[in-house]
Amino acid sequence: MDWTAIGVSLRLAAVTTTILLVLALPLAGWLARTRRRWAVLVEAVVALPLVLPPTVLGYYVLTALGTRSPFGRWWADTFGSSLAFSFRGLVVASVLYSLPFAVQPMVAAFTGIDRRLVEAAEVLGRGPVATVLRVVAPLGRAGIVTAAVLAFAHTIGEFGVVLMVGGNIPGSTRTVSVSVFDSVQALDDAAAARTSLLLLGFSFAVLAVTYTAQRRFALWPAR
Amino acid sequence: MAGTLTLRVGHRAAGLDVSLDTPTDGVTVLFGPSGAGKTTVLRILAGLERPTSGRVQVDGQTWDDVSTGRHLPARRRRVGYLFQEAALFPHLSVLGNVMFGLTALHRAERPSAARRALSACGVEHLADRRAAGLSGGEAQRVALARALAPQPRLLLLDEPLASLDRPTRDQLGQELARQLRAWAVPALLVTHDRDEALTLGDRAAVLVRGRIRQTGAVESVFGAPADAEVAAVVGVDTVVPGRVVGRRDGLAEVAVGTGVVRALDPGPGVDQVAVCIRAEDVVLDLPDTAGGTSARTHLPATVIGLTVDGPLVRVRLDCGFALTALVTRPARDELRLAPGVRLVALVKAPAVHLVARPQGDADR
Repeated sequence: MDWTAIGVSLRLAAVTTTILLVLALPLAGWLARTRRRWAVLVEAVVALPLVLPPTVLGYYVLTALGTRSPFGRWWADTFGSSLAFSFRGLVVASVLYSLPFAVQPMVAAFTGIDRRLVEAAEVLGRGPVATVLRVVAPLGRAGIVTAAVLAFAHTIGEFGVVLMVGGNIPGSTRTVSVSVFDSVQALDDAAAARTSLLLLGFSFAVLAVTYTAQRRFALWPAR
Repeated sequence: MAGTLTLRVGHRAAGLDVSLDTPTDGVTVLFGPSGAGKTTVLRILAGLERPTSGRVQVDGQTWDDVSTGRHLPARRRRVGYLFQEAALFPHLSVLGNVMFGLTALHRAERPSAARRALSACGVEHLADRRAAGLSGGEAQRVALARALAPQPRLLLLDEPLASLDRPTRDQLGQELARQLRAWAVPALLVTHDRDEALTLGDRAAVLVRGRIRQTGAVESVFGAPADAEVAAVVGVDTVVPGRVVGRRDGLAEVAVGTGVVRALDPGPGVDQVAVCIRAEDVVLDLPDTAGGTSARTHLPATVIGLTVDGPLVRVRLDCGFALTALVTRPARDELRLAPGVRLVALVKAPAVHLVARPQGDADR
């Protein structure tokens, strides 16, 4: 078993999920409430990774992170190393790749929250941040739990983007899924089978936990 | 110290074009059929909706002005809003709900302030209950406490009793009337229920198809609609203030103007009332036929004027107070009705509808 790859995957998933929760909470809160017409464009951009081939997404991220792009150059000048083919670059790519898995469950949960509760909070003198933290988040926590679990699991399972952006550097960018691919390439069928079984069991457990959480936390009917 | 609330607002989607000036003291009722845009007016006042034209001014402060782009956010308006259904936060306790709006107080002072508000609304015993498990009446009382606790400068009530069953509604209506006077908070109440309007309101503004059609004291609006459309909305009954002066055999004697009418006893403790009599329930007869059962009120009356209304004739009478009767044309001819004619108006006690008006607002 490639424990180093598993370690990289877990670390990547943990960092990605944390960043995603911070990003997705206000974004989903806004998407669930806004009546601006161009909000659908934001929704479409968020959902793009669902339909885009991972290689295409990976290609764009790689181009954006590489030293030939202004951003990549600025990063390299500032921090002394390129984002491409590094763990940090993988984090950027994973955040983009798993964004819909974090945002969509939250939007679904927040849309189900009685609008008047949000308005009541506003009239009672609370600003948008307090309203999200004290009303929207607690009432939509089933969606937040789902978002966290799915974002984590989806990051563990990503392959194409990782290969494009991170390459295959042991201990830094070689993740579990890349490790399985490697084992098969090296005709090490036993290693591939072991790692695959582990991922299968993990994925199943994650989904079981998610659905349990949804039932357990959906204590308050939306209306 | 009373200021003014000035609304000159339009809202395209709701078809509103409202012009309203009302003092910010006591209770102003915004009355109208459903779909008239009442709730939108309330939401604009709360800052939950932006008008598409015009401005909102309260006590000299501009809350909205579309021409300058000014919009004071809801959270800065210090209004209390009572939703049709209580809209309590289901994940918080009753106390937590009331403390939610007490941001101006130091954290340590919030629980006691919240308990005071709950106790004033008669629900202190519910403080530690989960808000999700309350009955409709309890929830609405808690919602009232939550709205009043931060001491709003204006209370907005959106048909607060509409979702309750009849007995709860009557009881809570009385209580609400007392609360509004006890807290002395200026209020704007939206309703399409005339009993609610008469119980709670000092002033009424009638909203029909997005426009304010009439404003004035509740009795004058309900008793003397300005035109046929307003009349169709508020009903064309006689509505006059009265006072219960005696009780006997389940009947109450109510002094109205210089006359006295009998009605079913509205129950102990009810003193000030609005007396409502539907024009079709008033029977006219010649003076010498007076007599009969005691449950009927015999009011010596003088005809003031007649209006032909289709096959019927609307007769305006003076019998110590202004009373309207509806008779057929043959009856008009038989009784030789004309201005100045004296006769007797008969009203059965069950046809006299009394609406309790807690704490003397007859002197307002």
